[in-house]
Amino acid sequence: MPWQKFLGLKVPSSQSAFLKRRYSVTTDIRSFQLCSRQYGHFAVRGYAPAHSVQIYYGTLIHQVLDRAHAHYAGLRDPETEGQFPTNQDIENYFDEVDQALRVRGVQSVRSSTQAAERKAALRRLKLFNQIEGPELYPRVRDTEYRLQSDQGDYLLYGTVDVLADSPGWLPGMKGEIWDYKGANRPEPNTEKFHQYEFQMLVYAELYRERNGYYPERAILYFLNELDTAEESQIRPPEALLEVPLDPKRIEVALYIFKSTVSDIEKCRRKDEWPEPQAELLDKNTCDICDIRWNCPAHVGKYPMRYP
Amino acid sequence: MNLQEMLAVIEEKSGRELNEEQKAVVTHGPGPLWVIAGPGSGKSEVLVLRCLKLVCIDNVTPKSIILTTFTKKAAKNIQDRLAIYKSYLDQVDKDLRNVDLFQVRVGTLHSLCNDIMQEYRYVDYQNYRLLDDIDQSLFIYEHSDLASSQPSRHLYLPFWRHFHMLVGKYSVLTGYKWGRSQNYLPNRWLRVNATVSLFNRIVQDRIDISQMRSEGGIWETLANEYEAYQNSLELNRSCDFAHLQLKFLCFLNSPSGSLFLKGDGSLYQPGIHHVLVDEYQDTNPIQEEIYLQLAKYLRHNLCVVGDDDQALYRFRGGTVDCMVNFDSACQSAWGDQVKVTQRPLSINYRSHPKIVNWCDEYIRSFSVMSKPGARVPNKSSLSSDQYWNTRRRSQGAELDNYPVVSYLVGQSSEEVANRFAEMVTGLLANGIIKDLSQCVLLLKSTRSTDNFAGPYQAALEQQEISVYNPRSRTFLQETEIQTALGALVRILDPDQTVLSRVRTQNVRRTIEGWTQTYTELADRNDDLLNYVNRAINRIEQIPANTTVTQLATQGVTEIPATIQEIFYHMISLEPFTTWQQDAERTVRLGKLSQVLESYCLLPFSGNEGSSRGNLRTERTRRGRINSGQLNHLYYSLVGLLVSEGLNDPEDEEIICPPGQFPIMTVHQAKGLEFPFVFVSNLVPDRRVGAELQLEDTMRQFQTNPSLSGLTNRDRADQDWIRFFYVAYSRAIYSLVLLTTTNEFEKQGIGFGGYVRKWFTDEVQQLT
Repeated sequence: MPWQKFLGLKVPSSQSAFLKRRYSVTTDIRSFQLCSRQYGHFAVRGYAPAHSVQIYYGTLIHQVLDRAHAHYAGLRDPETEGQFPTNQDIENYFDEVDQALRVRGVQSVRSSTQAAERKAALRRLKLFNQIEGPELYPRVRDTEYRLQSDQGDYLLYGTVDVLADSPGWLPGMKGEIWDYKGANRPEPNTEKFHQYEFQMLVYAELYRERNGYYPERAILYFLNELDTAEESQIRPPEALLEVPLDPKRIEVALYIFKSTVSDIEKCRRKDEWPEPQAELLDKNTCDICDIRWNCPAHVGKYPMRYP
Repeated sequence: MNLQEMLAVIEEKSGRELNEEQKAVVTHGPGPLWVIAGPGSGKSEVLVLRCLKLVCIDNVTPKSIILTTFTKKAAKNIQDRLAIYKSYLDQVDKDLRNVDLFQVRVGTLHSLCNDIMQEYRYVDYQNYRLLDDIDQSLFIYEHSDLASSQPSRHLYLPFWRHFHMLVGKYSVLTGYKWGRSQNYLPNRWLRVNATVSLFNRIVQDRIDISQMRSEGGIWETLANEYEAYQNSLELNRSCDFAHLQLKFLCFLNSPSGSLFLKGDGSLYQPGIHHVLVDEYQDTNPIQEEIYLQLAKYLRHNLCVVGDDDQALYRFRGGTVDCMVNFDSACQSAWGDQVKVTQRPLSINYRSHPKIVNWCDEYIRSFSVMSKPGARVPNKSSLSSDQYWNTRRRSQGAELDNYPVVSYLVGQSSEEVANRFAEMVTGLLANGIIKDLSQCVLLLKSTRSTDNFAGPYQAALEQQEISVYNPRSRTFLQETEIQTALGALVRILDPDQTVLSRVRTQNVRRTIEGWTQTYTELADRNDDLLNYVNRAINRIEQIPANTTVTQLATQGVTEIPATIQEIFYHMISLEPFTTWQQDAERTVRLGKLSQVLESYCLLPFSGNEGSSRGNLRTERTRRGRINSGQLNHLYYSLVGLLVSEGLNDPEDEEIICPPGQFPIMTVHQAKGLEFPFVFVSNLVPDRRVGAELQLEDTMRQFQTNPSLSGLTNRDRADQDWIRFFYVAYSRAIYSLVLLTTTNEFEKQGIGFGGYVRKWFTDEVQQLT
């Protein structure tokens, strides 16, 4: 038999070279915390969602604000350098992004309320531009600022919307990180509130690993709170939340982060993705989730559609 | 820390000492560097160390370094290695801790083009949808006149006769082969695939479209069709992979591209100072141009690493010429005064010395490989690691007298397969290997047909050996896929009125097979049957010429009902819920959802922002899905699936699951190594393939045509020789060639270029 000629050979066990997994603060950790069942289906098993609605509003506000920053920095047109975008500029940028997303088929799910939603979104962006622009734009050092860290078994990464100099910046000062949220500010002490804070605390740690120090401030900006702003252009107090960067809280956030990664790994090993606990369910997420029809967390809540 | 200290730390921690050739690459100073690296010579390791040296010793800003690899997996591997080595250095030199190595731009060229243009918000790229292969084919089916259903025969028959090399082939859909003498056009899917090849090649080969148009005739037609395709892509904000690279070239020449390349002196915009490229032998002309553009400033710090003997990707426009002529390309781009340093990496650490010797002799045994342009001039011989035996023994190997390079022969392919399977069983049962995944069978194609993987897979399964062959293209034969598609068709075309009028028999039969599978399963699954029947009833109530909608959120609003959503409704029911508990079945259903997404996102021709996935009823008849829409679904999506087949999803984290025997194509095995390598199909079809003929016919319009005087016959043979060279050089301990008596008599390319006696002297027969 041919194999008998190989009796003089013994191949040792092969060492599998495992690649470190990559975990994003938002698309992995927050998604898993929001709903592990949904995360397992779409991020791990490779299902493609039927609607890209969840990204429409977020993409729209981020891209318009990004254009506003680029406008002031003169990155799109050198002639606008140092000029604050006007309302008309914001409207033009809004239309540009909205049109591009529509052609790609990314749009709001609620067709009957779409016009009102677009109008509200545009108003928020104009107000942001008027209220925050004059003070913020000149301080912006970078946008979509990428951070990454080797955590031993895995790589952790995230992107902050804005890296800005601190007010009255002098060399040696540590900068600010800003994250824009297309939502209202959640009630304090709710899970959602903690998750937003947690995200900023982890970003602060990644920032420290890259720069050797924490940022001066970590800001969450809730654009939907601008709905209460009058044309007087005064920032509603609920719009801006400064997350206190206490090293102990950062440590706790990292601990939670690591245990979430460990939970993901456990789910991966068993390929079992349980539904979230009832108190963590997010109505907006569940209402448009493709796999809600037989979700054990919602028995009877979502009767089957035909089709 | 200085360079010597850095290397000493890495060598101590990794337990491997760099040889002089490797050190010369790592420590090379400024200017272009051309590294000719044989298989198993540690080229990726050298690239990692060179990158580390640039950042940690030369204080190059990490963000100013680009390092490209051929696959995403290789990119992750390099990032991981960089992180591990950096952690070693951090322990010795605390000053290095603030050096952020993650800022090095590591990735495939495609992913870097995408990321960089996104980072710089390049207006002509932001908010574009990147089309994968399936998306591109469906897009061309929908938008190109070359592939339309009712094209002008007068205009297009001469066109396809000219490009018969692309369409003159057997079609699974029609069941026959189209020939130049036919008085009708080739099948639509043959035309789609050919159009994809033509359009991609125009971009990859940097074809001058205006010159092509001025030639008139079929060339003018092609130039016009290509531009129409480009316009459609733009109108629909879509971009295929070839155009991704073209857009990147445009970006590099834009103001933001200039900022990216030159920088502004700040930490955030350092410019690009070093470009490191792995697997350069598979680079195509547009990629070469990108690399030369990236390195056009400063000292032209472009370091390319590759092996001309391992070039495999001619079908993607990779012509080996870029590797063979790297020095002249640099001088032509930057001037004759530019000095290109050539460095070899010629010591193979992977394979048993006898395998190294066989591979080296194999490639030199062909006179066609010594023709100018075939290989890098004055290339060093591959040599083996003199400590290979000692090193492998220290890792636990026993290496007493065994046939290192051998062949196994049988009267028929079934006999060869059976003997091979018995051998594998014996290797495992007798502890010669510890796990089946330590072996691999390499083939030209892993399709489960009689000519390729079929007999081997059957023989292994007969021995109760589990086979890992995700590219067997049997996806559509799986029950869960057939059931889902069958149920979908039943809902959309309940009495199969539209299906019965489908003229392509194989499409019709395939769909009928799916509905049959569904019917059998539905008999035992009331919920699924009930869903399908109620969905049919619901559609029957919808007035004519109406978009099928559904309530979106608890009665608040309505949204269009899409094919994808029907899929998600169905898979929430039995038997799908049970199938989703099975690891393989659930990822297969996930892949089906991706295919449906590709189809659903397809915009109608002339209607930007529309979607093929939204359902409408007939214009004049209530309760029926629009027959034009159904016909499109059958002919386009199902036509694609039937004509091309689909592979199973692959887990990018693993090469092969433990306990399974992998069957792979040589392309899949690129960059991998296995203790036992079996290679079959040693006598390939030597006909000059379509890609080579196309290369020749398009050369007249290339901006920078290849100067190689090699005929297409030479290049076809060289491609096969490289193909087997890559296959053979994957082996660590043992290489086994599988052949039928008939093949052995023929002594095709897989047996080497010398006389048969040489083969039988070098290679031991297994009896």
